[in-house]
Amino acid sequence: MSEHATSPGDNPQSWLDQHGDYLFRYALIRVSDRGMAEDLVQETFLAALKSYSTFDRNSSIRTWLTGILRHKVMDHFRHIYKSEKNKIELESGNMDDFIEQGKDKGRWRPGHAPGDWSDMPDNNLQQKEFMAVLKGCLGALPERIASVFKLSELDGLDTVEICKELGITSTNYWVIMHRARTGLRRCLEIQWFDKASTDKAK
Amino acid sequence: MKNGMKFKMKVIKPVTDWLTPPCEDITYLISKSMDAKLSLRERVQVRIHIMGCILCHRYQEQLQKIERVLKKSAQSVEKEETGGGETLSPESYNRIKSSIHRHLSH
Repeated sequence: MSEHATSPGDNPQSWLDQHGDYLFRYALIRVSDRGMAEDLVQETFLAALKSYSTFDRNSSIRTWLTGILRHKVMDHFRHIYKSEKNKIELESGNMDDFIEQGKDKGRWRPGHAPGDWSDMPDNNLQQKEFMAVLKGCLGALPERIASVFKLSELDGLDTVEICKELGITSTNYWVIMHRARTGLRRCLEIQWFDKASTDKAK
Repeated sequence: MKNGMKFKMKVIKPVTDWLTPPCEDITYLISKSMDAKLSLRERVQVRIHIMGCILCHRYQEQLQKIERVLKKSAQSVEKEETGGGETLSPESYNRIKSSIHRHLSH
């Protein structure tokens, strides 16, 4: 192994110190589970050590490591998506934001309708807090829905790629994305905006 | 301004409600429009519905805001500008360190 270590940054001994936290953050925002994120980082390093001889040096070590981790995260999502225990979440996941019966069927349910967000944070500190709440809400989404949503919004994969990777139809994909966005919106409204208005009232 | 709102609720809303599918379907189309191109018919339905429905109009604006913030947060991880951000716990750091060491000493 040591014959590859031509510059100090390339020494596998230093990978963990130089890239460990970065890779951890990359994984954590996607899988929303510390233990799982840590496992994925460890697997990434071990896979990287095994295939170090194939590293072509056209990219930086970090880019290469991130690419390996990206594949690991994708495997993880695929696994979640296909697992039986998560299947129930789509079929039973009716959207309680809307009224189901009566003449107002399909209209917004009182108390669930979108509130006024014109107080959206614009200074940096508030934006950071808002991002933290947003991450929490992402983590609170049902796993199966979240995995599809994150592939799209965080990794920028397009509909065709995601449908192919997870084996779903595009209609299925739009339904899942709608659920994800509606759930995220509702969570943010409760966690951020309702809280902000109670703080103000104090 | 207030009168305008009243007019919207009393006159425009019943018309747009009658012309277009309910909010649940419209929010689906709004979400879908962020992933795919809507048909002309779908686009017209959303446009008309939103003229009378402040709630679905807000829904649309809020989804766009969320998308913008998410894009930023994905970039902030890439750029590592997460001051005081998340780090590996000392235990997992040590665990990974020794597994790397074990591998290298083989």
